[in-house]
Amino acid sequence: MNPTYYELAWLIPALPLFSFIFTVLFTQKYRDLTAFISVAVVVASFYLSIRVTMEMLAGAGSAQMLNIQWIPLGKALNVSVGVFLDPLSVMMLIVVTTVTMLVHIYSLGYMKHEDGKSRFFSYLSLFTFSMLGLVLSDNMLQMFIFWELVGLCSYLLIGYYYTKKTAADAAKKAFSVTRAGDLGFFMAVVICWGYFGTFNFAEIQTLYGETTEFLARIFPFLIFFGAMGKSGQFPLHIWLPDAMEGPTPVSALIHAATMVVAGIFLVARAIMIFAQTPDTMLWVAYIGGFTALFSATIAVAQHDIKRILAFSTLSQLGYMMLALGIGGSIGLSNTSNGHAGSDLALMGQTAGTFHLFTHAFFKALLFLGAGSVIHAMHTNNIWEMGGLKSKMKITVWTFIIGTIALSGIPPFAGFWSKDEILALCMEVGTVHGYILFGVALAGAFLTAFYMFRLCLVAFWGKTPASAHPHESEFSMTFPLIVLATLSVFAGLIGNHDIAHTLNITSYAAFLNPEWNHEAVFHLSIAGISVLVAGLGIVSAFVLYAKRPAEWTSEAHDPLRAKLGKLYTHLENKWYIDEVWSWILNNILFRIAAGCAWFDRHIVDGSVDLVGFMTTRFGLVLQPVQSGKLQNYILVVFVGLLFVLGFLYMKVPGILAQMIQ
Amino acid sequence: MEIGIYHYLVLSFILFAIGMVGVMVRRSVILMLISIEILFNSINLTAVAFNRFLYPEQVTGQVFVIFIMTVAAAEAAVGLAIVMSVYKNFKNLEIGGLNTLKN
Amino acid sequence: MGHAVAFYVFGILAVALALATILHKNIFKSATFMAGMLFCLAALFITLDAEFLAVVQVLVYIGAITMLIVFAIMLTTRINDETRQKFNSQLWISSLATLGFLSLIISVVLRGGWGGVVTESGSLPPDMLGAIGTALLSDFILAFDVVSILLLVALIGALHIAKQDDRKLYVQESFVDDESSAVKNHVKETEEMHV
Repeated sequence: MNPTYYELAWLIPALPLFSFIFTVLFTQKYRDLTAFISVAVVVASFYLSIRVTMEMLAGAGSAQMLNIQWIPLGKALNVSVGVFLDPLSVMMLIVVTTVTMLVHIYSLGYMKHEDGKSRFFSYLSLFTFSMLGLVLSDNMLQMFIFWELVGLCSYLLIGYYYTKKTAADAAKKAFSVTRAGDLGFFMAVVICWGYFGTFNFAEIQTLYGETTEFLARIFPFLIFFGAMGKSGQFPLHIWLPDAMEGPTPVSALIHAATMVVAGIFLVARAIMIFAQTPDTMLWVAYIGGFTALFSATIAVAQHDIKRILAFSTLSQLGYMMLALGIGGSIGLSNTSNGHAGSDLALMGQTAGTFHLFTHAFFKALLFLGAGSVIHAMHTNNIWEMGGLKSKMKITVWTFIIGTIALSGIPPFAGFWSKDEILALCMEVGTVHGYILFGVALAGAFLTAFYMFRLCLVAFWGKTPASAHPHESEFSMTFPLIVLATLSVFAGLIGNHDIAHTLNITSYAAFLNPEWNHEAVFHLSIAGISVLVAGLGIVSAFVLYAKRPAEWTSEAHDPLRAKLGKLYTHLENKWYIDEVWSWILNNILFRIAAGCAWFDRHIVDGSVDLVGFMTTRFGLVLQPVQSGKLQNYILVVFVGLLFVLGFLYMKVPGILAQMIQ
Repeated sequence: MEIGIYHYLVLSFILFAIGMVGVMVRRSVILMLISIEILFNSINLTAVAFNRFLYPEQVTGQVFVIFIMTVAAAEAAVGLAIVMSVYKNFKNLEIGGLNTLKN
Repeated sequence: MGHAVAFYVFGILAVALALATILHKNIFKSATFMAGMLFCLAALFITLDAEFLAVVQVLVYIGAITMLIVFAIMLTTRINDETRQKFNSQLWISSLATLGFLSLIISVVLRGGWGGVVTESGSLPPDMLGAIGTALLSDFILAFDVVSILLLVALIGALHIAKQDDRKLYVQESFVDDESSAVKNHVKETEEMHV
């Protein structure tokens, strides 16, 4: 088959870029036109992505489609910009374009009456471009550039309501915290050129195995540091809950489905480099596992619907990191429990990115559903909602589908991907695998609990008298229905046997066509995970099923009495924000104050001194420029005399030779 | 004693020195121009003397003198025009006062 | 012998007149002394067998340039104003530097070693005037043309510079009244000039 759509792949990110430039320059005044252009362009990108995927399924394979020499400086620096198509990037293409397209459509309804609609859609286009550029990058530097671009878009969109102080602060927080992580990534990029002399992933992979330099060895750790910032891993997770100040479609797109998984994507992309340092991988796995459990505990005691979802996102990102980490924790050359290390690394990559894949759909669905609810209720607090299930049927039922998917009930999408992670932990067969299996199970219990708590509190019970909720318009419910469908069925491709029965390519076979993968589905593990999730659901029902009408604020949460002081700790997110602000105020700011003093008095002082000296010296020399012509003639003449006299004294005969 | 090239050269240098002093010390612009004419003439004398004593069969030195005279005439014309212009604007022909470009 | 007498007489006279030129208070007399010095140089040219140059010297320098300078003096300065200071503050240092320069260059030249090259007048070209004319119109034709154009340009430039300030004053006066009309006047003036 002639891969024509492969050749058009560069258009996928280029179209949104065009839309961004065009709408920013020409159509800022025409809100509907801007929205229309953005949506049309992203639909076109989606179509191209689908065609590219179909070609890949038909066996077109990985390909470097575009390679432009950008900064060709030979050995000094050689930067190229390219479009790289491989199963991983194509999978991300599908996720990003699907969610982006649906969020664009949803925003048509959600942002209908906003004054800044043009600005919003322009930013969305810019984000779409950046994210697609990120996933199609063929080298580290290009990826870093787009990495920063998505960070910028995140900043702009969180701060969309920039007149609101909390939103502006949240934007700043998100920008600075992710920047701390990006510092690691940037160091990795620099090391990458310094030690390996290339930015290409495949080349780094070979070179990395041969190097023994300390700085080169910690290269994956630095990459992971960048991923921690972007994907909100503990302790750099604090920006993500605050990022919920942005408009809800933005939360769904950037802070649930696409940008925050960039870190996962990065680690997955570099999995074979990571797998060469099992220690780093173990670190990744434990950070991921801890984040998964830690965020889940916080989500239990939150009251803002979007914040619950944000902590849930953190928790699920933790799962993905856990999968990637535990898979590579054996090392490439070792074997464990009958599996080769490289097989386990690929299984980790499969499990982690598959969870990314399914999570993108159901988390986007949950956020969009939450947006629809907020749109109708004008509040974020779940305790001020209630009784919505009869008033907003589509929203509530799709939301519940998302909840079930997230909780991991078969046959919904979340079950398959989460189960794969759990199974992987067991397959690894080391003590770390068993510990993380326990952590993941605990997380699964909490996930099911807090999601059903959210549903029960927000949708059951009685509607507050002051509110008059109504179903949102079609442009908002349509994406919900599509995403709900995906949440139900997307998980099926993860299971080898089901995919085989349905005669489609399974996810693992798609991601690594050459790899003769092993099925990791175990009925016993699936049973345990369903059991645990069911336990969580039952607990939620026990506590919240009969929600009396008088529970109108977070003070009435029955869990408060059960957990006692612990509940307050959870409500305050384990005081991580306070710890950070203590560190900032008492350590960083003091160091900064010292640096500022040094800068102001020593650095600036020396610069001022130079300026002062120059002025003084000028004042001394000023009389030389007398403005008197004859004075100048005299000076020139005396100078000539000196030169000639010097020659005459020092080099006898030279003047005589000159005139002959 | 036979008069040779050195006599002419020394004479020409003395004239040159006198002209140089005139350019550097006189306050009047017109006198500066006059001193420059002295300088030109000392150069002319040098050129003719070299021509006469070193390459008498050629006329290059004399041709140079003709060119120098032409340039001197042009210089004098422009210079004196400037003098007129300056005089009309400043009512003053002392070079020490003409330093407005400095600021 | 006659040659030596002529050289010393006219040489010493030329030096004396040049000194008088730069030292005399009265500018008009300075110009007169310069004319005398130029005449002495013409005589020295004759001792150097450059009769044509001597004639040109008298015609161009004494006849034209000195006259031009005299005109300029008469148009600008009060001739008898001898109250003003002749020299500026750098008289002594300039004289010293020039003396140093003089002694240096004379001592260099005297070591130069042209002693043996001084030739007799027998080898001069027979037709000196013809030789100069031929040289000007053959070997030096480009320089000749360039100098001709330079002279023309200098002529026009001198005219322009000397004429310019009438208009300038007029523009400056109109600035006081009204800026825009001044600009208009300026434009009109320029147009008239071009016509």
